[in-house]
Amino acid sequence: MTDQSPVVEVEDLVKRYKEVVALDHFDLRIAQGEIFGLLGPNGSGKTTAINCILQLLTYSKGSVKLWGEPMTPTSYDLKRRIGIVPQQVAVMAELTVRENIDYFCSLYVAQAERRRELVDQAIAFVGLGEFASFRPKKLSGGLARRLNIACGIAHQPELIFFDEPTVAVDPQSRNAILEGIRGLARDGATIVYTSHYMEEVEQLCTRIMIMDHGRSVAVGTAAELKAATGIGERVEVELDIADDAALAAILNLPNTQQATLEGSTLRVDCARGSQNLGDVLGALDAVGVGYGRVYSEPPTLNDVFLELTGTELRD
Amino acid sequence: MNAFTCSLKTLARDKSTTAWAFLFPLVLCSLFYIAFTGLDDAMGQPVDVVVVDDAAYRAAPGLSETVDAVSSGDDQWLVVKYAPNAKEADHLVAHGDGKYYGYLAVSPSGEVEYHRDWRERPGLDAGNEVVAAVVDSYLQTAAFIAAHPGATVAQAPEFTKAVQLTANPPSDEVRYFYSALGFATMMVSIFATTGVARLRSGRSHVGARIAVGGLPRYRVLAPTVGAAYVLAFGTLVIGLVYVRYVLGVEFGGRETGILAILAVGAAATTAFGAAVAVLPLASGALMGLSAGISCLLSLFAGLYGPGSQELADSTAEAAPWFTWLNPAREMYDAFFSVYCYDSFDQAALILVRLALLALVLFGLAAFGMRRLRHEHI
Repeated sequence: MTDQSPVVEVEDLVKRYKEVVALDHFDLRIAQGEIFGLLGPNGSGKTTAINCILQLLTYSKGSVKLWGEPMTPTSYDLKRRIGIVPQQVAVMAELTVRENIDYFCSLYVAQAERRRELVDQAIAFVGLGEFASFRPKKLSGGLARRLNIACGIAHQPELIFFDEPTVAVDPQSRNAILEGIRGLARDGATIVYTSHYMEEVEQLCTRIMIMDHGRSVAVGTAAELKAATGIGERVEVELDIADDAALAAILNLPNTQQATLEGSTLRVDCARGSQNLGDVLGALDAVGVGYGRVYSEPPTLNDVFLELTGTELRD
Repeated sequence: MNAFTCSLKTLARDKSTTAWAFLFPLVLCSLFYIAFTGLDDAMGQPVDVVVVDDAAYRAAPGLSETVDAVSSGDDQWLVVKYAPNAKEADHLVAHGDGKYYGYLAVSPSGEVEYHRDWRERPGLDAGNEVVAAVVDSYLQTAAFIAAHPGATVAQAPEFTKAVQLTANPPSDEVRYFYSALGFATMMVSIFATTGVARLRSGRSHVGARIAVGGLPRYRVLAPTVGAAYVLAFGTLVIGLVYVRYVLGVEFGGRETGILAILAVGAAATTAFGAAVAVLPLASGALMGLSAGISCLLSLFAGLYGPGSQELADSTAEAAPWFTWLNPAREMYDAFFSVYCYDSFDQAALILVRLALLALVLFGLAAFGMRRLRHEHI
């Protein structure tokens, strides 16, 4: 965190849709300059939380403050400091790239002269210069996403919500988008970022919250979240032959939390420890099972996510 | 200003909106032109009849002169085929493939008789009315000659005189085009429906984006409604120019009055379109609803032919309040007031009612927009 003063401060937020509790006493604090990742399975309450913060939804209980001020549907001074990049490309199909950015920028900036500069900067930022006179239908998926971003950031907001901005985007465009977001943060913007791509969040975000069932189940840096899980290391070994004796030997190791044999591939989740790889290979040697390639890696954010939210399918 | 300009561009470039609001009424007017133009002229076509040219006919005072007069010249009413006797005349009518409407003969007692052909054909009633008018005219002339021995047909006075009671003569053709203009005024409400529906945060992602913007809702709504009004009025002006100068329909030189009515009518229907847009339905359904209501209300403005006109007139008589709530009918009445009356008082009263209706509908739209929230970003 570059500055500890909270830009977003949500306390005890409760949102119900009839019998369903979408947000269950939800708390959130985001400091100035953070790139804050919001992770959670479908229906976990991420979008509802953002909508409540933006006052697009009413809520039963709790409070939302931005820069220390209560946020209400008519807090236009606060709203002018916010940018939003929705998950769907939300632009006017009948307007060109430039006209679209200008229109959405005009919701925040009245002066035409100033807006012209901002629109030019936004077009340059997302690299849509040669497509400025194109209508959205003529743009590829990646270019349309970049237009979507330009419309959300042209007015140079201090707080920007990105809701899964890289869905259905090719790796080149994704890298460009992520680099752009880092650039915005370097320029001082506070970012709230939701995504299902764990690697993306891990690379980008300074802090991450994992949500489930309308609650925050964990919050911290990627390293802190990994440290908080029981998994210390994942070892994967390609055996010469699939052998149940080998699996039994591994399961008997003191640090083994879970071991599976799929075909001739042995997967072992180990508790934290310095000798896990040596212990696994030693046990295989002891039962006389040969092996080829061996992999050892620390837990990923995906492991943390699945451990905290479970593997049950969601909507 | 930017919001207004962008709304204008957005709505003008929206192909489906433009097709419904602009092209559809123009196509309808063109169809009316094909179907109804010449409706008034049909009454002026001369009618084919057979006349029994026998002794009784020649003895009837002034009859042959009357028939000669109405079957020649610029104002020809009849095309006469003479037959020597009734049998021959009957044969001509029966075997003329419907060419002859009937035959005129004078009975031995001196009475003029019209034996009409009862077979159905287009314009049968109108043709028989023409022949009846000729016979009536003759009977009046004959009575004058009988009362004034020695007088000739030429000396008989004109027994009827055309007096124009309205500023312009009644015209069935114009009635249809007024209904069509009323319908067009309803259809342009689609501009407002589309524009306002797009602003609704609960129904579109663009709407959600606008809702989190830094402008109060009225500052987004007002330019959009303004743009919808400009397009609605512009569309109607183009429609009027098309009907008046391309199709050549005469509006009795009251085009300025019609423009004023279109200006107020466009405001009322723009307000109607905006009020429809805040209903809790999907955007496509809203557009369909707007078009559907426009078609339904046009039924009560006589758009769909004589049956529709009778229904419209009887409804207006039985429930005038319904007329006041129907912009299509109000527009129609206002057009006719301007066309027929010397004074604009009646039209002004209708325009005041339309303006009040517009205010109420704008109020409903603004209230509806205030209550909208959205569920997804």
